[in-house]
This record gives sequence, structure tokens and C-alpha cells, in this order.
Amino acid sequence: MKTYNFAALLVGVPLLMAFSIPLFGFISKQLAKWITVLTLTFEFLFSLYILLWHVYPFNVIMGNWVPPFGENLYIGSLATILIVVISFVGLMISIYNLWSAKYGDVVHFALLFLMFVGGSIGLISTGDIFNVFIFMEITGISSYALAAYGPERRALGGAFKYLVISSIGSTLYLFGVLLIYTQLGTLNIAEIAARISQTTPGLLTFAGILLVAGLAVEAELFPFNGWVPDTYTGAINPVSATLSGIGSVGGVYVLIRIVMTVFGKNGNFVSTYGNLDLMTLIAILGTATVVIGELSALVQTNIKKMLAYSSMAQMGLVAMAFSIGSRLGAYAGIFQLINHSIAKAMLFLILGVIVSFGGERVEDMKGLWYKSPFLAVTFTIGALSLLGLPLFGGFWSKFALVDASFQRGGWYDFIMAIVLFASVVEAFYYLKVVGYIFTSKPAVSEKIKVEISPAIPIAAFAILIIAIGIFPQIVSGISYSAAHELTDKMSGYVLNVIPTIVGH
Amino acid sequence: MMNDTPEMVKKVFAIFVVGILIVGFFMAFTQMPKANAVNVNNTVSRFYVMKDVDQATEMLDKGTYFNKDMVPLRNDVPYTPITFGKSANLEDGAANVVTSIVVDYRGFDTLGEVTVLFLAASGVMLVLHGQKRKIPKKRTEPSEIMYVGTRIAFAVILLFGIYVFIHGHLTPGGGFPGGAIIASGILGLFLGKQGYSPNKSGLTIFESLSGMAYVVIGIIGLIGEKSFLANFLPTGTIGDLFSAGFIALIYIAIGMKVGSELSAVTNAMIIDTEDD
Amino acid sequence: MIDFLQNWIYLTGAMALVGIGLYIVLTNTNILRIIVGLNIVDSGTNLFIVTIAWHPKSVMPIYTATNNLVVDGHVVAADPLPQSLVLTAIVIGLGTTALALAIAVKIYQKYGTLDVRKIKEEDK
Repeated sequence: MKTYNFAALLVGVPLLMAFSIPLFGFISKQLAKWITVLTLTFEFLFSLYILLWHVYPFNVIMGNWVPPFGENLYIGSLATILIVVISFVGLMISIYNLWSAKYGDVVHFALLFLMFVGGSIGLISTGDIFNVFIFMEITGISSYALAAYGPERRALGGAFKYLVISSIGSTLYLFGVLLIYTQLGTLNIAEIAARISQTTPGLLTFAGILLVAGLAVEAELFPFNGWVPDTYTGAINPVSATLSGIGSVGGVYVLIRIVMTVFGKNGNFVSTYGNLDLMTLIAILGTATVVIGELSALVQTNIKKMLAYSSMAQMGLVAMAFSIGSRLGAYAGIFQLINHSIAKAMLFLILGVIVSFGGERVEDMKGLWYKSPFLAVTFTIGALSLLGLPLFGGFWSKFALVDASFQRGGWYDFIMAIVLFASVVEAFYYLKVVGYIFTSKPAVSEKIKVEISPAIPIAAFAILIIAIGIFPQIVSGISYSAAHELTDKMSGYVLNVIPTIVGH
Repeated sequence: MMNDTPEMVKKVFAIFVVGILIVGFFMAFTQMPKANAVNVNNTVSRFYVMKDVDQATEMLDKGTYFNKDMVPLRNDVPYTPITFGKSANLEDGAANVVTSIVVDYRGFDTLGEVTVLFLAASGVMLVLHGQKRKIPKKRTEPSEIMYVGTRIAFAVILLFGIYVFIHGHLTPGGGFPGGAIIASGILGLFLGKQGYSPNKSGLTIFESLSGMAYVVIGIIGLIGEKSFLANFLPTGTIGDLFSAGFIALIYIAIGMKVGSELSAVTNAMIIDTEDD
Repeated sequence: MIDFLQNWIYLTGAMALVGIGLYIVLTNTNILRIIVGLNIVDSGTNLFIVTIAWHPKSVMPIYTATNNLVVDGHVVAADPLPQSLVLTAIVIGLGTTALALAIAVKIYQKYGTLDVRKIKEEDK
């Protein structure tokens, strides 16, 4: 077991800074926002060090109690790449917030935003199934408050709906965890994953359904995603970007970790223990999410609601990719998750700049090219990446997804059909907006002046999307080894945490 | 939560969902271990009660803790009897086993838990920001007896709260109940005087410093003992007030934090919602 | 047999509380009632957690001069781990309720009602 306890600072530093932000807030409100930027810069550089110097995979032991007796963080290739993405998106949104967050209590807004990102990093790295619940609540509570923030009153309704659905979801998750505890007497993910076959199948099936139901709320899967349109539309744009670019990544990660690593049964294609194959359940939920999300996005006239439904549909695609169960499928899912996180966060940020100068109906996008070429080009890049056009990041992940479902064959060909259907519908509504941007003349021809602080994150995201599109090796190498971690749970996960799990 | 559907459909749907859940729980409960209670000897809690994790770790390192079917041999771990008031320098010195789990064995959970409460308090501040508290004209002031009584009670309640969190490793209780007790004393002050308001920035400073103290204790463990949130103090004799290493320190930080946090939440919540 | 019944009472209670709470959340349109429903679900969860830790013959998991937790190499105390988990669950439930109430106060100020249907109508 390789340990690198110093990486506990990955969770410790955001906590320390979050606790100290109210003190900095006494000095200056702007300082509180800068502390967020500095802390997330540290997180990003630290995770980049872990990625580039190939420190991973390693364990972080908490309090000198080794797993399975104490708590640990496990940072393997999957956690590494997702932490890099999350801290990058978080850093960019925090730079954007320097300009955009200006209503009300800015100090507590900065604090909650920082802990949302810090909590997501903890959620992804933790190796204890009850600790997952705590980090879910950390991200949950900060996002309810963030969603209620802003000048508009409809934010409150969306935030309350999110709070109710999400806290019921986490209660179900807790029940699932404790049902497993009554059987195995441990809370360590690695030990549970290795010993999952020693449980009673009936109880395990019910626990699995409870866990999937609880986690599907954060992962935005049907029928637990009723909160998505209201919350995304009501919240201010950087918060929508955060929920879409960071929150859903954490949710999907835990869902996949529980289903594929904890419940998974190794084979050519991963399936799960228990009377019901949870992978099939996720395939069905994912398919329903894609169909409902894309069709709802098609009829929206409010562009923010359209992005919210599109976000839902993208998460459905990710879930479908993982549910194929092969290594290529998991690779496609991870790649798609990263692309979606970057592109959707960028679109919400661009929308934030546009909305500050006008409305958020689809018609308000008309003639954006004449108002601000920078925003028009970056919006097009994001939309085309989500569509999956060549030269953009989204192409490679959708290509791998179709390839994986084709290789699996059988009724998984159906997934391929759904992906193509989704792409066509997406093309329809995104290209409509892109058409409005470039062809129509604006009603009022006043220029939109983009300030430096929102321009940096938007430009960085756009460059990254193009870079991934042209050189997919940036992400694909580590995504492929992350896919190995998911599909081969013993050598990918369990033996890295508890090397002596098979005794003599 | 579904707004446009008729009452009847909603009720039938709710009964359907609840029914499925209850049937599922019933089936799961029938498959739980004998007498429906977890046998402590078959869980990791066994080592927490026996304060035996180091022995178990030794077996784990030698590869004898799990058998070849990956079943842990928890009952084979050697055990040294613990006598209250005599056994000294155990791996964890708290007489209250729940406390030893909360703060020591699973201390990272508790750090998260403190954060959750902190975030909830910050969220309340964020949502209710800019609300002016108005003192209604019609209501009468509380009587003198109430005013003096709540102040005397506050002193006693404060002392009791401090007692609870300092003795967290010996008796039931600890930082969270202790903090809640202190906050209830401050709630009494609100009742005693119309328009009472605690020093808001004082509460914020208290809250921030005690939260930072918790993380700093964790980082001291990382530097001194090579592991985040590791105990760096001697554990003493079980049952003494000065035993259990850093548990008392952490509980003092948690108690102060929870006390000031809940008081701040109470303060933010007392808003007059009537129109002028 | 008595042991069996004693535990089932609490398990049934936990089940009933979760069911009642969920029913309230699903059928009511008043925000305050929904918050009460959430709290009932939380109580059911907490009751379930302490029930799985408990056995009619178990003693409290605190070392005192008279309380022996280990007899003949077997632990006779109640399982302390779920008890520490329930502490966490209670605190998290408290935090969620506080935030929900704050949002409810704000909703009442902005809309003048706590009925979910009326709020939805006003948003249109």
C-alpha cells in the first residue's frame, strides 16, 4: 500500500481557508473572493503535480488508523483526473466571481463556493462509504444556499425544491449504507467491495436500489432530477455553471464508484451482485434521462432552461456510457464527463455575461456576433463540442461511446441509436442558437464590453476544448487507466487500499 | 411537490411510493442478522471497544487478518483486558468509546460534520442577509424577574455546557451537546430582553478561530505524527480528566464553535416578518 | 423470542416514521409542512441507526468502574460505531432544517405565501 499522507492538505487547506474567510471579510469583501482564487490555485497546482509527476495511485491515512479500521482517502487515476478537472473549473469560476458576485453577502457566498469545490474534491477522494455521505451533505448544503443566492426571487423556489429532493435522496443513501453495515460490519469501500458477495442477496438488492436512488439525485438521472430545471434557471449563472460543471461530476463519480467498484462483478462486461443487475438499471435510467432531457430542451424558449435540460441529457449519456460495462465504455463515460464539465460551465459563464446586458430568451441571442465576436465564437465552440463535431473535445467521447456500444452488441445497439438520436436533437437546438448568433441582425446594436475577469475563464475553457479536440492524448491516456480502475475492481482499487485482503 | 396534479392522484402516488419502500424495508429487515441487532464481535467496532486497532493492524500487515476467502478473522485478534482507572498509555485513552470513535478513530467524519454545521450557519446568513430586525411596538417588555432570571441562568448554563464538553471523553456528551447547551443559554437571553442582540462580529471571530483551531490540530498531527488528525499527546490513564490526548482539545474547539454558530443562527432567524 | 419482538418494535417504528414523513412531503403543498415531513424522515433514520446498534442484553459503551464492556473476550457493549454515526446524522439534519427554515422565511417575505402552488403561479 502506497501512502502519501501529505495529500490530506487537498481537503485540509480549503477547510482552513473556508473557516478563515469570515475574518478576511472584516478587512475587505474583495479580499474574501481573492482568498477563494488563491486556495483553488493551490488545489489546482497540487492536483496537477499529482497528475504530471505520476504520484498516483496512493492512499492518505487519517489519524494513523490504516484502512479498513480508520478512514482513508484513495487517489487513483480516476480521482486524479477528476480532481484536476474540478479544481480547474472551480478556479476559473472563482476568477469569474470576482466580477459577477456583487449582491448581498459576498463573504459568505465566497465561503460557500469554496467549500462546494473543496467538498467535491473530498467526495471524489474519500475511501469510506459513510464519509461519502458527509461530503455529499457538504456539497449539498453549500449548493442549496448558493442556489438561493441572487437578486431574483424565483431562485428561492428552485433552491427549496433542490433541498427537499436532495435531503430525501441522502436519507435513502444512508439507509443503504447501514443495511450493508449490518451484513459486513465495516464501512471501508475497499473491504465492502471485496466482500460484497458474502451478503444476503435480497438485502443487497434493496440496499443497491436505495443507494442508486439516493445518488441519482446528484447525478441528475430520471426520475430524481425534477429539481434540475428550476434550480438551474433560478440560480445566478456562475452558480448554474458550478452545479453543472462540478456538482454533477461528483454525483456521477460516486454513483459509478458504488455501482461498479462496490457492487461490481468482474468479467468481460461488469455486472453487479444481487438479484437485480444495477448496471441494467442505470442503463434504463440513463436512456430515459437522455430522451426526456433532449426532447424537453428542444421546446424551450428560455436559453438557460434549455442548457439545464441539455445538462440533464448529457448526464444521461454519461450514465449510459458507464452502463455498457466494458473498459471502452467506462473510458467514453469519463471522457464525456470531462467534456461536459468544461463545455457546460463555459456556456453558463458566457450566458452570465450576455444576461447582464439583456434577456435570456433564445431570441436575445440574435446578432451576438455583431455585439461581441469573442462571446459569439466561444459560445459556438462550446455548443459544437457538446454536439460532438470533429476538432472539438466532444467528438472523441461520443465516438468512443458509439464504438463501445457497437462492440458490446446485443440490445446495447439500442444505446448507439439513442446517442445518434440525441446528437441529432442537440444539433437542432444548438445550431438554431448558433444560427441566430451569426445570421440575424441585432435589434439594438450596442456593443457588449467583456471585462478582463470574465474573459479569462471563458478564453481558457475555449482553448482547452480545442486543445482536447486536436490532441485527445491530454485526457485519453489517464482516462483509459481510470477505466481500468473501474472495470477491474480487485487490481484497480481493492488491492491498492488493502494489499493483504486475500490472506492464507 | 407536484403542483398541477389533482389531490387524489397525488395521494395514490404517495401511498404507492411509501408502500414500495415499506415492503422493501420489511424484506430487508427479515434478512438482517439474528435478533436484528448487529453482533458487535463481527464488526470493526470490536477493536474500537477493545482499543485493539494496533494489534489488528499488525495482523493485517502480516496477512493473517483475512483468510483466503477474504473473511476477516476478527475474533482471532489478541486482546489485553482494560481496567478502568488502571490501564495506561492505551492507543486511545477515552473511557467513552463513542467519543473515541467520533474524535479519534473516525475524526475525519467529525471534521466534515463541523463543516456541515458551519456551512448551514453561513447559508442562513447568506439567505437572510440584509434583513433588519424591527422591535414591535405593541408587545410588552418581559418582566424584571425574567430579565434577571435569564441572566443568572445563562451563567449556570454556560458552566454546564463547558462541563459537558470538557468531560466528553468520560461521560455521555461532548462538543456538540455542550455547544447546543451554551446556545440554549443565549436563547434565554433573547427571551429576557426585547431587542437583545449578541455581539455579531465577536461570534464570527469565535466561530472562525475555533474552526481554524480544529484544522490546525489536524495539521500538527500531520507534521508531528505523519498523519492528518493523528493524536500527538500522551493518552494517560483511562478515566482521568487529563487523558485521551487531543480529544479534549478538539472537543473544546467544537464546543465553542457549535455554541457560537447556533447563537449566530438564532440571531439571524429572529426577524420580524410583519409589514411595518 | 422477547428479544426478537423488542427489536422489531423499533424497526417497525423507524419504517413507519420514514413512511409517514415521505407521505407528508409528497402530498403537502405548504412549505412548513414539507419541512416537518423532512424532519420526521430524519427521526426515522436516526431511530433505525440506533436500533441496529442495540441488543436487549447490551450495556452502554462507556468504561466506568462498574461497567465491563468485554466479558470472556467477547464484547457485550452496544455497537458504538452506529451511535457515532447517528450523532453526525442528527447534526446534518439540524443544519438542513435551519437552512430550509431560512429559505422559507425569505420565500414568505418575497411572495407573501408559503403555498407551493401559489408560488409557482406567481412565477409565471
